[in-house]
Amino acid sequence: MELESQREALRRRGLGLAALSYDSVAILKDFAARKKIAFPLLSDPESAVIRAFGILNEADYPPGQMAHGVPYPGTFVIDTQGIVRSRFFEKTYVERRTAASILTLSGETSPASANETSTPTFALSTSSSSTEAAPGQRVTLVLDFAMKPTMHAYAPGAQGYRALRLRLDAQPLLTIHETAFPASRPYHFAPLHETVPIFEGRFRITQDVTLASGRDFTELLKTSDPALAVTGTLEYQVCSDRVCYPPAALLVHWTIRVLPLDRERSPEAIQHKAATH
Amino acid sequence: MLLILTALALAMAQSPPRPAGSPSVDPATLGPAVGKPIPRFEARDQDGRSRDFESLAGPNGLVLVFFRSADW
Repeated sequence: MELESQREALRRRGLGLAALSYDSVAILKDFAARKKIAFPLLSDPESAVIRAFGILNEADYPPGQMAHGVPYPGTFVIDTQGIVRSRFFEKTYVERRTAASILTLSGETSPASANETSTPTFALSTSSSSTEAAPGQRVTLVLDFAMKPTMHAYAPGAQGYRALRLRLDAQPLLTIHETAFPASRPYHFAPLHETVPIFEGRFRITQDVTLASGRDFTELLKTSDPALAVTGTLEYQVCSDRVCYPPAALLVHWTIRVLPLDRERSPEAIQHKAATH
Repeated sequence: MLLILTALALAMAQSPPRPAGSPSVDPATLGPAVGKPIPRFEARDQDGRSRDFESLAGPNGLVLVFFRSADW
């Protein structure tokens, strides 16, 4: 389980970790042993906690089905006062954001491997929340910019300049989500009497991608080292307080190793049974 | 606000079940929102011990993951 590997990173941030499902204590005990999980797995066999949180999925799993009682899968980050600080919910079961992605979006990153690029106007470091992911998982790609002194890049919405934009190349095994930009700063350029949004100093943009479902990866997973190459183009234009450089573009790429899906079930005696009518 | 949510929850509970795989409610709109408190809860862990929020949280809080099943 990917969460186990993130437990230490969460602990360093002073965050506890627990995962709750409608499984019996017996199923969770077996699962924890098989997967060597040391953090608390919580059993909610009547879905009482799931209901109290208001996230019971009855639309897809009505009463009578084996799966009745399951929640919409998601994650809450809760402060010590019991207040939700952030939350991550996905529309489909298989689309799960990795814990590493949650940490990345919460401002904590420990990029496993970053690619450094340098241009005359800025330095760029690209990394990702995880270097490996299973089908259906959502990964955050990270671009950390360090603008050189006096330099600024144009933010989305800047008229008359090529605004910063990440265009990932489409591919069938990947859903590309919207690029997330930080807040820009309005920049007044007196000679032209114009005010445009810019980025300067150090800033980060993130781009989420979701791997397709398991079936689509059947062929790729048969290869010896299954990996997805994520490629794209970063468009930008940079100016200083006195010089404007022409619009430019930079090729960017990431590699995500693809992990097989976990299909193992618990021993039959303790499995969930479909309700009989 | 609570009344609106309750009304919404009731409306949703009364809507007919959808066939599996059809587009369903957006889970982003369900459950406690950012800035809101979570309900008190208690559940047993894999060792059978009773756990609540206080026993699970670290000095800065808790990451609570809801997942579908460890079984299937």
